[in-house]
Amino acid sequence: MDEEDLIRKLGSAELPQIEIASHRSRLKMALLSSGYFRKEREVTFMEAVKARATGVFDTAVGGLLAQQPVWKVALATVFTVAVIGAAVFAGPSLGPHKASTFPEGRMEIGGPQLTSEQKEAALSILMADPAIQELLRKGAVIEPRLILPLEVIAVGVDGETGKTEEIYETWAQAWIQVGDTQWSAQVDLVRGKVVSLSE
Amino acid sequence: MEQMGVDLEQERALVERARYDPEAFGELYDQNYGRIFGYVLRRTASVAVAQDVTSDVFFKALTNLRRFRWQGVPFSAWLYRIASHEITNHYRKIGRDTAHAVKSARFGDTSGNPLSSEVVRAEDILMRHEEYLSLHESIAQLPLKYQEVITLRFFEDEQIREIALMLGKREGTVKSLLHRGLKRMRELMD
Repeated sequence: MDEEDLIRKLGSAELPQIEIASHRSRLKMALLSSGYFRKEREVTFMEAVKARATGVFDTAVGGLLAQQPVWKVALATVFTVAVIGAAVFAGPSLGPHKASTFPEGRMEIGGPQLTSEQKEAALSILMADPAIQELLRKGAVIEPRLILPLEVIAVGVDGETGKTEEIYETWAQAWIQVGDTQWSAQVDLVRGKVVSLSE
Repeated sequence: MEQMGVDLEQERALVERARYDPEAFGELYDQNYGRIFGYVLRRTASVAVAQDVTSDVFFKALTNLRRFRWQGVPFSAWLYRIASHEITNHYRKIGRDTAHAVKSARFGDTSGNPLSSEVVRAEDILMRHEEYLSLHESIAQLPLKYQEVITLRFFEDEQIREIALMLGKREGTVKSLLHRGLKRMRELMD
């Protein structure tokens, strides 16, 4: 075969024009929720907890992305939920607050609070969690006043249609003292489980 | 000014915004996803691999976006370059025998997960392009530097100048690679 023949063959071959709509939309959601565009907040009273608060972003998103990035899971679930943002304490009145050491001292928190039912639910979920039980055996103390609201904005992506919708949920964040160490637990009140626990 | 069908001034502004604005990045993504996925698909002949590699391309693009320097060429040229590297990395990861890699990759995704019905359907459609697959079988046995230029020239229908921009090579180099690649391909097919 001479070069011209080969060129003709290459130029005339019918090429596959395929697209996977669900991959397109899932990847977009995963990229936009990866934390790259996370706004840097001004230093607020949450200076002490900011690093922990970002665990919400990293935990939920990282859990999807770290070992097996969500787009690498070829079997699409009906909804792939990517947490694209979370405010540890909800509400527009977040501004600078004064507190010397979190969680000690008076905290002024803007926005909605957990109801007593939600706090009770969070406490039950925490007490039922094996990792929390382990901390309790080590002398951990869970104070209801340190179970605080966590507003989570998730984006659900329908794996079949690629349609997205924003889902707003209230979770809880609990601060647990174990000796001199402070642990933070994020509690999914909707699904009834502790989604992350970190020092 | 237009290049590769793109208004460069407009695109430059969009890229600048995309460094910090997710909506702008989303727009860049929407404009380029199809061509990158298509390129990777036609390079690898595997829908599952194309998904994986395309994801890697955009993730790399996003994480390096703030370091990206506008050089007066379309943004897609940078994406194509990343895609070529990621394809090379992919073949390195799954084995040096690229022909074998192509065959094994075609029938399952590289993470070992089962394929979704959408991907299975897409792979079925791919299997019907027998002529393309036969050509791809030969291309896949060539060194990667030839695979890149041949795919870009004939499957992506890019001109030498555009290919040079995409691969960061001189036009003369691209012409030479193309010529040598076609010669090798003829030898394989004869």
